[in-house]
Amino acid sequence: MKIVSFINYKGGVGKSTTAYHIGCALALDHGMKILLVDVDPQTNLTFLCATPERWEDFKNSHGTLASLYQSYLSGQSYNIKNIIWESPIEKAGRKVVEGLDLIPSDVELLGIDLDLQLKTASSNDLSTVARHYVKQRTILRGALQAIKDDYDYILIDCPPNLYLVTQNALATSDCYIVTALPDHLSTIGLSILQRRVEKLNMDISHAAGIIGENIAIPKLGGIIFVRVRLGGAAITNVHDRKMREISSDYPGKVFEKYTTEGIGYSEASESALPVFLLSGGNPRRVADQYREIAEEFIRRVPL
Amino acid sequence: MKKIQQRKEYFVLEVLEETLKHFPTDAERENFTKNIDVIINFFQSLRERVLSLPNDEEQRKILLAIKDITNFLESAEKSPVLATALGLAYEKKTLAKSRREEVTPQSVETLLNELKNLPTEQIQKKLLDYKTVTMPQLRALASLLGIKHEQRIKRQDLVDKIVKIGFANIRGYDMLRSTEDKGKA
Repeated sequence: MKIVSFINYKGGVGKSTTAYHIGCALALDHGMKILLVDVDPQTNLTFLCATPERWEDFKNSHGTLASLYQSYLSGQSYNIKNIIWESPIEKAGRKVVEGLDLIPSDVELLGIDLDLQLKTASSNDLSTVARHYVKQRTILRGALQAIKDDYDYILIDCPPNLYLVTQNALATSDCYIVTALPDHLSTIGLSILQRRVEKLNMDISHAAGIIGENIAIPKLGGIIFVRVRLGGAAITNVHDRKMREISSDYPGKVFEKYTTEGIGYSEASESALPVFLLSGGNPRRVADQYREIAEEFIRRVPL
Repeated sequence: MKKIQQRKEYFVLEVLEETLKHFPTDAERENFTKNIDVIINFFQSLRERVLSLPNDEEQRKILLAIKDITNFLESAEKSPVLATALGLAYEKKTLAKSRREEVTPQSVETLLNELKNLPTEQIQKKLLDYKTVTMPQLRALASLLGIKHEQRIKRQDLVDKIVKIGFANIRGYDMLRSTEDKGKA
């Protein structure tokens, strides 16, 4: 089993869409058992899987990821199986992506992030502070232990920040994947992001070391370019140049496969269905691209 | 002066002689008249054929006859015995066929208003029931809601589109907005 976080502190760069479609491709085309975890309070991944009304029903009857953190904040243990939504993707009431489950998100995670930061260790003892530091960042990791053997891949969609909920996702991941548009503003922060993640990794490793624990830190699993602009059959000059630059700066890390600009995504999002299950030229084009990305994903993040 | 007159006469004779050389021979004249006869025969034949086409009265009678035969065949198709006897395909009068004629803008508006009062799950259930809502009604409903779809879309896919885009997404948006408003209050 592998846990992978999709991350970038810039919004609108295809994190949710990419995690969703890679997950769906792995389940549909490769028969794998996939768990999507939406840790972004924007709940985009959740609403790619189900309509808001169905989410509301699930939330009222089972809870969301917020329930896990609320339990932690109130000092209670929590079984994460309570909030696993089995095969949530439906077409006209029928489950259409068997093998893909979801832990849905909640807008309440916004407040929870602040509450987690306010929960401090009232001690000057180094090991107590270190234990608290590690505990604050391994809530999700601890919860996922109970289900890690049930899945081939667990894919976590992170919010566009590096606060505690995101740090929890990173602390449980084997690697992280960055999605980006190949333009100046989307790529300018890549090196900062990588440095910040390395710093967080160092901090948690250091804290874990103080209390005699060992926490494996996630490596950069790859950079996936999305919505690449084409001029005719070729990539436009600006995007091509940026992709070459990033490939040169991160040797071996940039996925060879990418998605191109188009309207297939919006059709998928309003239908709460992956492009693989939509008809028409645009969804089919995007579906082919995501199938290729999913295959490359398996090669880059082997089980 | 006399010499000049004499030259003019010679000139006319020369021209006449030259002209005679270009006149057709007997064989050429015969051939030429034969060709004209062929053309005359063609137009005569054409004239006869045009005259043999039905006149106004005859055309009217033919149209009436066609209509009578068509009506007879259409009624024959609906009768299993007659259709079999005539070697025609028996046209089963299906529920969908009979309802197809009932799709009017008013009926679709009525259906939409009915659906608006139902929970989303029940909308889906109702639209999936082919006995309650026909494909032409579904298409008309999608059109009324501004939902584009492929011509050959399956019922399940069209219902999914109508339910999600036409109702669930709008209701979800309103639901989340009202939740947020409550939170602010």
